[in-house]
Amino acid sequence: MVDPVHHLIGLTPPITVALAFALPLLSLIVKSRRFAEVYGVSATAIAAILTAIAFYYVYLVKSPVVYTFGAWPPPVGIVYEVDKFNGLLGLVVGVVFLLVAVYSIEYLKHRSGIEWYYTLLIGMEAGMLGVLYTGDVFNLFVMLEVTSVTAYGLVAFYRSRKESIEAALKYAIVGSVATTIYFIALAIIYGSYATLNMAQIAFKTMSKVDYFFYLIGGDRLWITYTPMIAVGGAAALALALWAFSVKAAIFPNHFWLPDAHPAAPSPISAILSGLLVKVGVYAIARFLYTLFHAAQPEVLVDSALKYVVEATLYALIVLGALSALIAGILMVAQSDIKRLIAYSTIMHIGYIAMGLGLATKLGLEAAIYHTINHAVAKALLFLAAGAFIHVVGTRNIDELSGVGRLMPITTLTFIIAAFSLVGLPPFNGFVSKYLLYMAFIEKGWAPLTAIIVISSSFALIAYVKIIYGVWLKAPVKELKGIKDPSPIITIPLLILAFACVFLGIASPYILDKVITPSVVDLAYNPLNYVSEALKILTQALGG
Amino acid sequence: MDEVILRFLWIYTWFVLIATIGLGLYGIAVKPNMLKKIISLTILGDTANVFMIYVGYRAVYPIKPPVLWTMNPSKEVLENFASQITDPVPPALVITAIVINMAITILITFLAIQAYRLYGTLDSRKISKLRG
Amino acid sequence: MNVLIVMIKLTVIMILVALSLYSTYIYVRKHRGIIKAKYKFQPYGCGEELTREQVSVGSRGLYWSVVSKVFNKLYMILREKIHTGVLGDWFSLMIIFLVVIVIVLIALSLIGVFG
Repeated sequence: MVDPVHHLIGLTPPITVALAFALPLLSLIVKSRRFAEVYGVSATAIAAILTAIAFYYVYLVKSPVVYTFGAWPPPVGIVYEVDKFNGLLGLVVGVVFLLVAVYSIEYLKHRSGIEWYYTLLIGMEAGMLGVLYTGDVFNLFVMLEVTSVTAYGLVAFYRSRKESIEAALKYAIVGSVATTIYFIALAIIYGSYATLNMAQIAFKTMSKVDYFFYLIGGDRLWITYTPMIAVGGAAALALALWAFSVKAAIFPNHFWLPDAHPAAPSPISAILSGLLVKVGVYAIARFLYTLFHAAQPEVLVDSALKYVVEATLYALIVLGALSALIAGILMVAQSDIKRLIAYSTIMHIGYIAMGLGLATKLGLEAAIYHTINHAVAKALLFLAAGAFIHVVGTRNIDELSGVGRLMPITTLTFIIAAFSLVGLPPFNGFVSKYLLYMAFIEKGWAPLTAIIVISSSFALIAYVKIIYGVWLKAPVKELKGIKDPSPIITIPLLILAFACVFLGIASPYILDKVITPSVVDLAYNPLNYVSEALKILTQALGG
Repeated sequence: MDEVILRFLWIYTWFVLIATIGLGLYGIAVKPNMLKKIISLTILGDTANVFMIYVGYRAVYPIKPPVLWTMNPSKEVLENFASQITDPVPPALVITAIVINMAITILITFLAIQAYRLYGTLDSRKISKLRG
Repeated sequence: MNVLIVMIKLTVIMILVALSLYSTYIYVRKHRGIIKAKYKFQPYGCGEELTREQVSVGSRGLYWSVVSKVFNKLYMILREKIHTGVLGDWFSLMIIFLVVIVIVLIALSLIGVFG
């Protein structure tokens, strides 16, 4: 008998999809702006509650949770497999989406088409939760497409502005090439490993015997192991990681990001920068660490795959360092506040990639903690910048001069977010950067910390430029009637700012109780991930 | 002789598929016109679909469609069946991918039309307001 | 706890440094006395009347010398050659990266299988 909570956890993405597609139909009946707003907020609230339930259950009751759709057992049907890693990221997604949905009410109050906006927003949340929770590589492709299509649509939300359409067009072409390449990688995975289930692939890279097929009973259906499977695995890994690095905006694939993120409405920029790139990071981590066991290459059955995985890790470190430096240099030169923040995203994704490339426990902890910290702080930064833009009506830093003194709450939250991202001590960004330094020193690559220091100092220059301009500079034009926006905007800002401080001050506790278990689930306990799926299969076969 | 021809055709088709993927990527990278980029994108997507179909195909005779005609088959029947059919999973994946590709192509085409309305051109070298 | 202690130490140090700098600044400002200007403090631009806001440094130029002195060449390459805003320019870079990573990883796995 399936625990009823499993239904709630497994059905989180489908429920969210249903909520998304019900909105356009309902808004045909109820032609009220207020209805769409209330519906959007309550739908994201439902999703946030569901992700919180998943987080609670996975951390305190049982991990991983395997949910089978239609009771088809793992290698045959699509399963959702939630462990502590994706449960944690799912919670972050749920909370940030809820705050963004509230913020959007005020931010877009002069715009028409709000019901379509909320449809795409909830659809994007469903896609992200699907990517995070799924235990099937093809379902990951579908959900990645759902996320991407809604993201293209939302980037083009201001459809009469030149730069939105241009950014969305470029983003859509690059993004759909990436997903097509991932589809080819899926063909190679299916050709080499004869399965699309993540647990089974994780098992097959560890062992020459396929216990899943053995359980189903056809000893003639055996796919015989050959060393050449490693070549297929290498090709699939290369293509899939390339595709995910487009989604995550790691160095040579980052070009779409500084165009697309500023062109969207500010709440959407917060989601794109805070969460959408993290979906790419999640997929990279899942592929490298759960499917190909990069943290403990000794369990890999092919020695060929060991070389491949190690080369990939080195590539991640080099590319991460390059993205951090290049983004730092370009960031200082920006005069558009949102474009500057978008470059900062590339920099932080570079840090996360470096942490993932270390493949040590400390490095992974740093990467995952930085993923969460960056999600919170960058969402806050974009939302605070959006509050300036909403009140003043311009994105140019020069024209924002002096408004900060008239908007104290927004400025305070902006400064907290900027200091957190630069890595000043009481805030959360410092903790994860400190862990990253420690991880490099532990590995014996201390000179690489210089890259983080240099790029962080570029970030500091860029943020001080904004803070100086917004807060201390004399105003360029007459500032009349400029004050903090309504509580609908400032309350999400304050909640996220509190989260920044809390994640910093409570970091020893969070590291101990939340981050370390998620790292263990992601990289150091592959048998746990596999055996849960096998258990479901044996139950389904009546064993 | 037949076997040799079959094997040659099989390998040749794989090379053609990989070359077509390269062609699609080349078109997106090099052709300046947005419409040609979109056409290259559909070429790439369709080639990926054919690629997937080929993974599930079997070049060794006998080949049968994956339809089982008997209820409650015995183990021998099942094994015989499994050793002759083409794999039904890749077509299922491809159907999903075709639908997704269609949706994305429609969206990108709309964006291109809107870009033409705003910029008055489809030349991607001129649609470059955002830089640096 | 290791991280917490480091964080508290650094925070206290930072706050102390900032406070001491700020108090020195206030002290100096208080005891500097009033400097009487012989001429009026008015920006002068070739006979044009300029407001104070118009002569302040634009955000593009602010703290710009770091990049323009040290990384100027790299910045120009990044901006003029790579981040041109034309889709084809950077897409070819991405394709080169794709081809390189696929070839390298397949070659490595082949070496692992046969060597």
